[in-house]
Amino acid sequence: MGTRDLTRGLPRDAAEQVCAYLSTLDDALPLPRAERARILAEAADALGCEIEAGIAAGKTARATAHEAVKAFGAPDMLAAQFAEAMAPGMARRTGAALMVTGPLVGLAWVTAVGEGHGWARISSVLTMVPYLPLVLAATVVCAMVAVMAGRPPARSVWGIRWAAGAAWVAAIGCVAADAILLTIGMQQIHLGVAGAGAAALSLLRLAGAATAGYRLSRLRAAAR
Amino acid sequence: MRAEALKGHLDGLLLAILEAGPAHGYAVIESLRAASGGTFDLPTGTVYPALRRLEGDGLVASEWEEPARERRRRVYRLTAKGVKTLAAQRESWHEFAGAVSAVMAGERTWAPAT
Repeated sequence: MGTRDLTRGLPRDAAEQVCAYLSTLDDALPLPRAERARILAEAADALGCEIEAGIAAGKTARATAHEAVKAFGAPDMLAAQFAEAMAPGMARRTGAALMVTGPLVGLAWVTAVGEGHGWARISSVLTMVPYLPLVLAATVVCAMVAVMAGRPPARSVWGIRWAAGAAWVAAIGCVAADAILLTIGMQQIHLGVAGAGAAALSLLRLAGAATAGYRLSRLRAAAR
Repeated sequence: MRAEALKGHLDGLLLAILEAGPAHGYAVIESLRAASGGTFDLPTGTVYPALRRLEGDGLVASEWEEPARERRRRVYRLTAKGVKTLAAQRESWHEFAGAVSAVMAGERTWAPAT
């Protein structure tokens, strides 16, 4: 929905100012499209109500729109506040998703390329690339920190940037781990169905982790 | 009172406003303005990120108002967790405000250790 649709019913003088404000706010918000649409719809409603009240009180549409927009707050400041409000939840969800998908993807790769039985089979995958265990360990630790630091009691102690930062590192670690596993998989062309399944799972997770990492980096940049 | 002074208290104030019943964002802004007698001079848009934070913490729930109006609006309500949190914040605030008032008014009931 465009900002023009959000100002339907407002006098033209007021609608133009509100449209311009909502466009600036839209550009400043470091959030996915659906979240931005929700925020803009709510902002448009609040500004519309304020303008209608001003007009009812005898002010001109232009003057009341100017006051309403000014009173609502600077777009950059609001974008920073939304980023701070939403970063802990995103950090929590990212950390939890990585912790849940980690064992699944790991099991798929152990089944596809592992050699031997039990722990030896797991170990054979981990030792295929020297630094893979280190990347996985750092990813798991950061994902756990993201989940814990994103919760309300810990948030006040650790701060929002800690939660978002840990989740970002976990997402990047996950992208790196999946890229390593996919490279190993591509070197073994006789993988069959198990290998194709593991590669598909890794690709899906890599895409999800990369998207989460990108969003978290934008939220961290916007949060002051 | 400027926004900086309200930092840390806005969440509790919003929970208290919603205690009266579900309300959309603009109604929350109006109630805050009316209940404070216009004392809280914060940008009105600040209320929305705070509501999102409360929603993320499970203290508030929201849904789009039905039937759809010309402009869409979202209605917020307290959750059971929000009610509990408000009660705890209220108790903590009364304790803090009482102690500050007593000290400011020179009514200290305790004696410093010598």
